[in-house]
Amino acid sequence: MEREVVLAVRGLNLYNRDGERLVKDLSFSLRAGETLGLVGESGSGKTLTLRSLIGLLPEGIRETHEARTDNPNCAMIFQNPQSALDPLCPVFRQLCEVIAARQGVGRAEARARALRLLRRLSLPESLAREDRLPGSLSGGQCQRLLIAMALSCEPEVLLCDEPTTALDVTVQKKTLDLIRALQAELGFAVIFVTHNLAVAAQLCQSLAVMRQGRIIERGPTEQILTSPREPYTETLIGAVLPVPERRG
Amino acid sequence: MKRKDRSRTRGRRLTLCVGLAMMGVLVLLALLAPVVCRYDPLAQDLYAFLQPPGGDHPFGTDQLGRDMFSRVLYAARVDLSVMALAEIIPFATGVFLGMLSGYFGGRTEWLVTLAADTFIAFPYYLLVIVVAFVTGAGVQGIFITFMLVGWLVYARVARGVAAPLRASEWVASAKLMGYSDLRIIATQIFPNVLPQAVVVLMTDMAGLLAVIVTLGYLGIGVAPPTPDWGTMIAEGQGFMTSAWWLSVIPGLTVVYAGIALSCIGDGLADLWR
Amino acid sequence: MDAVLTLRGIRAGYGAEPVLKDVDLTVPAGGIVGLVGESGSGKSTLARVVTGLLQPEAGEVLLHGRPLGPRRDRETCRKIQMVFQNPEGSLNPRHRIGRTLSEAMLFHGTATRDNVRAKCRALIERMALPADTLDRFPKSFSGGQKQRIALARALSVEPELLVADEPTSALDVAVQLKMLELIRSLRAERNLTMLFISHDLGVIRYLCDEVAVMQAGRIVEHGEAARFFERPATAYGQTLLDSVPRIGL
Repeated sequence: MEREVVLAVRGLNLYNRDGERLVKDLSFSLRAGETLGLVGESGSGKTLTLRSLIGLLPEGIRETHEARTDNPNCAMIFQNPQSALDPLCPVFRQLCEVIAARQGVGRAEARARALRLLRRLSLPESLAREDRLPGSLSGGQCQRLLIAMALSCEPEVLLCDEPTTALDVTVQKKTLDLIRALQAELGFAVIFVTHNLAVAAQLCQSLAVMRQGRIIERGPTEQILTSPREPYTETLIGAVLPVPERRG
Repeated sequence: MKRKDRSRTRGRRLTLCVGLAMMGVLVLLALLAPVVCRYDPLAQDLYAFLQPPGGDHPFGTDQLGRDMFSRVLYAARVDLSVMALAEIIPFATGVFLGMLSGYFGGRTEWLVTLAADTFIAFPYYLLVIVVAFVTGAGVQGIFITFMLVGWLVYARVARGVAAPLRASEWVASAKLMGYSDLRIIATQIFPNVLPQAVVVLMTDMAGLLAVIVTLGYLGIGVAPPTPDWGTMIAEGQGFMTSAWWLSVIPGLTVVYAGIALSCIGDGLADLWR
Repeated sequence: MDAVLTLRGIRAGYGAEPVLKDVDLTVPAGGIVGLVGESGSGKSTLARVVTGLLQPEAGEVLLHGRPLGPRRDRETCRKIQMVFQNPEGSLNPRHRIGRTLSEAMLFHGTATRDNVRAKCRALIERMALPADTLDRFPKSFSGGQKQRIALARALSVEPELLVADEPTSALDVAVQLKMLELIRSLRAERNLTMLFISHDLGVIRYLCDEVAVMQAGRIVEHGEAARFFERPATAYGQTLLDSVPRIGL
């Protein structure tokens, strides 16, 4: 039984002010619960693609497409967790505001739901009592808070724009584990943008390799890694510097 | 280059070229005044007084029959050179102090800021009048006053550019190379400060020109009989209804010079962004 | 075994609480020591102490066994050079590349007025940079090229120790690999001694002979790279190694 398609786009083109095509004829579809890794280097158009899916294109970028899902239920987390939060507002309040707005509940109920989210994401409950500002939280904690805010929108698709690139490697592992666990529990699909093939391989069942605005190769992760078709994909695989597997 | 990029660059270059052309014409005419002007600016011809612009006298004559065209150009020589010369020392000291305070920070910055805060409290025109009272009317008042307060704006700009560079990796590399602080300031920091300082210089000069002309107008700047746009405007005031060209033409020349300088400043700012 | 660099009991920081608590480290001649640690561990602070940009509160920095004071003379400066993390800030935007390189070489006497141009050209070629590099300004180069120019500048004065503070972290993976291959080949040619700082264990494994692990201002583990990757001596080292995402091939 095939799961339903939650997000699809066909023939997506993104143009900048000078008429240059930054994303060329992009097509893919995403099924419920699927994790798609969008891998590419800087300038490949992966971030722009994500932003167009959620409707957050920067000024001056024009979009045309043949077909796309209307109003997909998406939430997004970004690369720099500390700068994605209001620096002068206590983090718990920011979380409550999002819940109240997106789930349409009153203040007391929003606080209760926010507390539940904190617990689920292993964030300290003291955040609710103290007025902690984002600057006093670590990068990993900020990112988890942002994931909480994203989840409070009850999305079908979680868009992740290099969310672990700015984090330490141990924190990165915890964050990836968290996303995986939440996905198993809540069943949302994930599009994970990264330039690090190993991170994508860790989390994603299927990969799409982007280069200069096009998806040049797409398929199940294992297939892409063991038998890549494109030489560029081979280059990306070769550029991953291996670390030996743990013994014992 | 893309089509849109090219038109944007052309727009910037146009401003700069217009400004340079305007200023170039004025400076050239001023320099060549002895050659270009048919009449001596001080020569009075009481039979030809208050003649409107045209014919022999392209800018007309004033109440003493002096040729306005040569008076305007000779005044240009005076006013523009005072403007340029008065800027030299404030520019140099301001940029130097600003770079020092930005590069070293700490106590140096505190000292320079203290000096700046002291001098910025002086009301400029009041200071000029006091100095003029002490030294007598004339350009030395302008020079002295501007030396005291003119450096502030350059110090601020230079400090603004130099301070963030303090933390940059290439300055750290220069220190690692073993270059002395003075060498770093002179050869590394200065080329980064100069473009912004020159842009400010252009606008500052336009402002200073206005000050020179105003002081001349008030009678405490350039002293007659030396031709000066300000004194010409003041002298021509009484004839505004009958002989408008006495005040208006020098006035327009000042505006022209101001626009030229602003265009150069804007053009350079865009060019070097 | 001659130690090019020795750090003993280094305590250093920027405020009341020192970032580096008590650091001992040696870098042997011709070796590449990888310094790995997470943010806040003090890796960059250590680099600044080694290069003299930051003075330690306690402890000493020894170059070939001789302690270095707060003021370093020209010759000492020449011997320790550094490549930084951020390619965008590593070159003076108002100087052409040729000037940056030749000025350094003439200052330290690794070239004379007669041969400086030729030496610059040879260096540029070795770094696989385009032929017209010397006449261009930094902003016309990509991040990877800028890092190679920064590397050229550091090597142009023939240092004895090269400190690299995450030189490839800001680069795309393919570009990073090229840069690491370049460093590897230069190392063999010039018998480079390096202190290579990175948070990426894959990079460390590719390049380094020894691994030193930093945690909270101290070096908790230091040994042969091969042994570290087989079995780290500390639990923290093990955690770091386990956290590295693997491609599972």
